[in-house]
Amino acid sequence: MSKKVIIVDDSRTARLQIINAISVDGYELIEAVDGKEGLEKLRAHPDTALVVLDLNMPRMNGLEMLSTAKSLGQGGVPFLLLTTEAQPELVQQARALGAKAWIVKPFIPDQLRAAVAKLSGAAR
Amino acid sequence: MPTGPSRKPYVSLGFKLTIPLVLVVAAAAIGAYLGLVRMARSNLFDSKVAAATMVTKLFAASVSPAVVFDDDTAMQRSVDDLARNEEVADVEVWAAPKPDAARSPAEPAAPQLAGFHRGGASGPLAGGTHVERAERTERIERDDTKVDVIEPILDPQGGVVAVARVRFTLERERAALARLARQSLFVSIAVATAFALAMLLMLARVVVMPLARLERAARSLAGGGSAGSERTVALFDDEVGRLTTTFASMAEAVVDRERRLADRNGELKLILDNVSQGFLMALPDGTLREERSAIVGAWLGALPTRATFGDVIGRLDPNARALAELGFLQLVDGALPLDVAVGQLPRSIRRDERHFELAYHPVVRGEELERVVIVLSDVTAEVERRRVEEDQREFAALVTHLVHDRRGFLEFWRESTALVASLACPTADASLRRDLHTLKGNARFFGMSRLSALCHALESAVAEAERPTLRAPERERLQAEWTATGDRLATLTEDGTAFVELTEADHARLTAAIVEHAPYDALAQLVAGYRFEPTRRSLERARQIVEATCRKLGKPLPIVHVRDDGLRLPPGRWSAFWSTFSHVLVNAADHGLETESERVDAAKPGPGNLWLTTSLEADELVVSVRDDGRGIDWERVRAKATERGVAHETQEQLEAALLAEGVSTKSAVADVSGRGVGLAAVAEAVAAMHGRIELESAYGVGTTWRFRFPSETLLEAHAPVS
Repeated sequence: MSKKVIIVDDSRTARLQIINAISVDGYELIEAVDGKEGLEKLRAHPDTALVVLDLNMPRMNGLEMLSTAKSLGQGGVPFLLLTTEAQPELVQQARALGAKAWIVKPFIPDQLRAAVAKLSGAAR
Repeated sequence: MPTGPSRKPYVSLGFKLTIPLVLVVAAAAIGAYLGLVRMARSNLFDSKVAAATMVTKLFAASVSPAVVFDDDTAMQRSVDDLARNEEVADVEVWAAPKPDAARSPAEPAAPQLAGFHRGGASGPLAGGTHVERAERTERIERDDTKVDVIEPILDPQGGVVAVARVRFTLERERAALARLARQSLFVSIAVATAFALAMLLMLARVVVMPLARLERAARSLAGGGSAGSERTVALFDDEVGRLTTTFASMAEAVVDRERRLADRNGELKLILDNVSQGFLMALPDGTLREERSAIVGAWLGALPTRATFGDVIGRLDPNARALAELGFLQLVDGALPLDVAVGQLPRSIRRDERHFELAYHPVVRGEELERVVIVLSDVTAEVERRRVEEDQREFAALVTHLVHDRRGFLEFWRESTALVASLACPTADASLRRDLHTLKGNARFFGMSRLSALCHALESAVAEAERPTLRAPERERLQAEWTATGDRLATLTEDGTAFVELTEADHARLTAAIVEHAPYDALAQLVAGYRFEPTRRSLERARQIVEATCRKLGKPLPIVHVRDDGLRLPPGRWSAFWSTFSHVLVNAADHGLETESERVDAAKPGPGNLWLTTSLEADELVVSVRDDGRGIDWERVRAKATERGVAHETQEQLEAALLAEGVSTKSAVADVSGRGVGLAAVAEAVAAMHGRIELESAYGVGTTWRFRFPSETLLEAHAPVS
């Protein structure tokens, strides 16, 4: 069974770029447009191997989703953050909330692919 | 001093050897002493016993006649003679005892015949009793103080007639023995002490001292000094000597190796001090090793001891420090593949006017990250060179455009200046994204790659954060970029629109008209038209945009068919349209025209075709763009419109959706197109001129855009076009 990866990003373009980068590895990809939907998807798919998470989103941003997931006991799933170079304090907070790793946007597709492969592998 | 792996307290080998040696020697001395005393005593006492026996035998012989004849006087005389011997303590002569059967029970076995007792020295020999048995042989009883000899006194026939008992004192022998013991003790102690000292001296010289020297030399060597300060010469060819020799050669080898290492380090340092790149080495916790190239100090100033990677980045760019430190933590975490984690570290940093590039080389042993080698390069000169080259290239491109198409260029210039001014305005503007997009496209067409790249970056930033305005630094950067270019072109663009452009054909036509005496009105109209721009120029620019875009996308160049119908248009009024028109062209090149293989698959022979025309139809001016490319995928537009919440029931609604902002059929934003912004800008420009847009497109066949404008747009506007 292929591993499940939830992609949480409000920008459809960004989600497509992520999907384009990692779909070759045969994951079951689940999209969510904000933190709220991300949490719902995470609840619906408890066997998720990895969450790729944007930080800036309407309704519920990445940090809020991280902390909620943690308080709901869903923090065991590794989170890979996507962030811009101007947001070190967000990365710091996300790390404190247990995010496994982060990648600077705009990302290099091959690097994202390698990161997702390693982090989703580590979950199992 | 405790050294070596053991934690036991240090006890000197000399001490360890001294204790058992002293014990052994003392034991030997005591043994020898006791043996000597015992031997002397035995010798002395044995001689005494022999002498006493002899004296007693002589006494027994001499007293025998007096006993036989029962002459008491003679008997006592013999006793007294014997008693003159100082060593004789007691003498007793007893009659031979009668057999028990021959005497009555009350009668003593035998009476004492004579006796002598020296004053109180000892009691009666027989304890006041008689001799029990008449022994025929002598008997000797000895203890530490005396020797008793019991000797039978025989008659001439050999019968025992009496028994003599003589006690000799051992006083003299004991005194001699005590003297001898003292001497022996003294000699034993002296010999033992001398022996022990000699042994210790030998041990110290042969074993302990050489070993101590070796230990000091080894310690000195371990402490980084040379072993030479300690004398490590073997005294004897024995185990210690060989150990010393071996150590000496080992120390030499160590010192030699250290010298060679120091030489090599010196050479490496020489290299590090003279390279133009900054080499630094960081431990996994981010702490920097002291080994680094000298130029790092020149660039960053003296770093504190135990400086960290963050310190280095902080000196280069305080803003980048936090992210760099986080990046380093991530590298060490190992959650990401090494090369990916390295990819998140800052690569280039700008400090004032200087540009630095950073490269990272993780050093891994097994699975463990041991070090990260950081290479810092000052690329200011390279960046400056590239900038100058780019400037020159851009300038050459601008001048080329200016020379070949002065009016077009100046229109672009005026339009872009207005766009930049609008973008640099801090108030929120709904057209921000469109303006950026238009400016980007125009800048690219006129070869201003830096401005175009800047616009692209700003577009991404704005889209990412969904901001309605640019940030202050972004506005300043845009304005600065534009002003810099403007300054350089100032002399060329001054009074840019204050001229009339005439082609040779125009000139020939005018000449002919004059020669042919054309009517005055016709001449006036002809000359008035010179102030207008021929649409051919705009269409030629359009051709260039399509071709440049195709080149950029790696597509084969299409065959472009241009038809202008000799039309001219008032420049000020049309510049906004022509400026946004480029989006239609870029879309045609990017979305419409196929790649070579796509055309083969679609059974379309040869390169794609593009028709660019301006014409008068009834009272309307029509600008049209037609391609025979892949056409619009209306299903996809419908999906996009659904996603964006835009009406999409009828074809009109679909066309409107296509022109709505934010709808793009591209799945990824590229440098060229895909943001869904361009067509919206075109629609706005057309609407501003009261024009209409017609669109015909069949999927797989091609697309035709017609922009229809009312006739008044052919005339110069009285008021400036907004």
